[in-house]
Amino acid sequence: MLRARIDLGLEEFTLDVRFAMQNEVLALLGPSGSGKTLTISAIAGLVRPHGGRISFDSETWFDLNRRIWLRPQDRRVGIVFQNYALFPHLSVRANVEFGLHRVGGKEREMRVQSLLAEMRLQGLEQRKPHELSGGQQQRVALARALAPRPRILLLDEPFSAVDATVRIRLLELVREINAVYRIPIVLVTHAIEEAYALADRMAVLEQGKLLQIGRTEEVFRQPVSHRVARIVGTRNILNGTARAPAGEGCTVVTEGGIALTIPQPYPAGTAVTLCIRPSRLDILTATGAIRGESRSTTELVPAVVERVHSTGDRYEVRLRPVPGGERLEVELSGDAFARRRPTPGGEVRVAIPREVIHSFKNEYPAQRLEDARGL
Amino acid sequence: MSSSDLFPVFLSLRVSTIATLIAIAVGIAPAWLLANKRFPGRELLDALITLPVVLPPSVLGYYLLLAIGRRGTIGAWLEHTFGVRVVFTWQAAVIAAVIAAMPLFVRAARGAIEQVDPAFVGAARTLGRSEPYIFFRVVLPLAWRGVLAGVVLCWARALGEFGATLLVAGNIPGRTQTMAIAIYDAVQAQEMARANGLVLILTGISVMVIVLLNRLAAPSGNSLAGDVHRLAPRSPRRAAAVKRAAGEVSGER
Repeated sequence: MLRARIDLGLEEFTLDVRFAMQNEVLALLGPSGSGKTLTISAIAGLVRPHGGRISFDSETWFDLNRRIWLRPQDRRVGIVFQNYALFPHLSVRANVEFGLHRVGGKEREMRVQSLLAEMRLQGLEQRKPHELSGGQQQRVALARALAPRPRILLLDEPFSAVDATVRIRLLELVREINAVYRIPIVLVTHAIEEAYALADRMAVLEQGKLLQIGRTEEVFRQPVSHRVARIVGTRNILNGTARAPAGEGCTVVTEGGIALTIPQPYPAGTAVTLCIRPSRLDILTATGAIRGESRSTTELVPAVVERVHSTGDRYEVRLRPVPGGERLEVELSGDAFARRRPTPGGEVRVAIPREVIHSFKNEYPAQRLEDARGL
Repeated sequence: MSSSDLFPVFLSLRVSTIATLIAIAVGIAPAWLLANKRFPGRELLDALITLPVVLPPSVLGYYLLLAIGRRGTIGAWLEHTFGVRVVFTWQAAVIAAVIAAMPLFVRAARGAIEQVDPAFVGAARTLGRSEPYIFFRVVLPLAWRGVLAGVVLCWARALGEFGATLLVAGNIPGRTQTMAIAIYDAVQAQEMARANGLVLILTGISVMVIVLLNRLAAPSGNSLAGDVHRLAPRSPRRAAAVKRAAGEVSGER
């Protein structure tokens, strides 16, 4: 188990993160400059924090108060850099062997062979890194990092430099590594899809601060703040104010004038942000109605179709709710789209099941919200 | 040219080569330190190493004379303890050449080491390798072009050393008369044929040095002689480092 509390003050930037992790994949998600790479560099021992404590299982790697500092050489951390940092003057084989100096001849040979096989690098042993494709370089970097049996694996934006098909195979590879080696893996990324595809848990960083950490699904569905919602790519973010209590929850009127009843209660007057996932919404005709049980728990919002965009088998429909000002995005499957056939300019009603509306108290006063959005 | 006329050629080659080897041995550690570490006295070390480039050679020679002259601190001690006299020997010329030329090596080597992506060093550290191993197996192989450019510059500077050498080693034909000093001597004595021969040799060596530096900056090897400023597309940073080093030597002369 890794426990990290890292304080690091640089010019115009302060890193302040703390988290703990088991043998799982933890994604550090955040825009560039949020301190993700600095965080893993501190874990690897490549930068020295100005405060805090880093420990692995019962071993302390860094403790400012006890003046403990373990060199990176002694931490047994595997790291794959964003540009891979393969030694350009050494062959694939020499790169993979680089960290195996403490391992005897026979065992070393076995490990190199099995890693080359695992990473599908056989036949490339004598090549130099510049003679390899991006995906191959990445696999060499993984093999090199895994060779000395690290206790934790750190991946810095591992998929940023490879194309989409290679990326999918590499994602699978990382999942396999996690299953086979059973070590904690920290994945630094700014791409939500990568975090979503790989991570058991996710930590959202911005400007050196940890905004939220939790199970990946949970962070996606229930961001705790406006900023987290934006970073995890929530598409329907509506700001509003709580009005009257309604049943167990309350009614929220958005800035654009849409009145929605949500399951959570807030005192009247509270600034509330709503996040609504596009894939859980449906589109009805202007006079359409919901039948059955869900009728009483579904909000119907009149809207005008603005734009329809196909992403292969899914369709993204952008709508302008009639009260005005805001936009809603709805994602339909090919089948659903064929039945609904929304066309730009068409008047429809958007069906929003109450239980898919995620809400949180807004961290900003209404005035500053606009500034925050401008970020 | 007679064989005694060629003596300065061989002496200069010997002095500059030995001086360069000493400069490498002594200079590589400060180059690494300045490139990688922040420590108290860093600025001072940097200034001390750069000083000989800025000081007029005669001033440098004067200081050296104060140190290793017969009444100088080190010189007196050496003579008293070992009975060795350094001034006005070819070894004094070596010392003068080391002091004058080492800064060029240190600065070029430092620049080349600084250009090595710290991720390589970081990767090597996490793989458990010791710092000396990392230096010799990762940093040096990646920085060798710039380091070698520094070696070449250092050697060229040592070969042409005049002012400080004249002060500490003198102008003793057949003993301490290096090429640069022999040219001066020949011109003073109106022996233009002797001067011409030596000038041609030094010019030839200088042209070769420029070609070599060019090759080091551009691994593709298709660059023109004299075109030190051309950037090799494969490694603009490296080329820039060599160019800076070259700029220093040409600015100094």
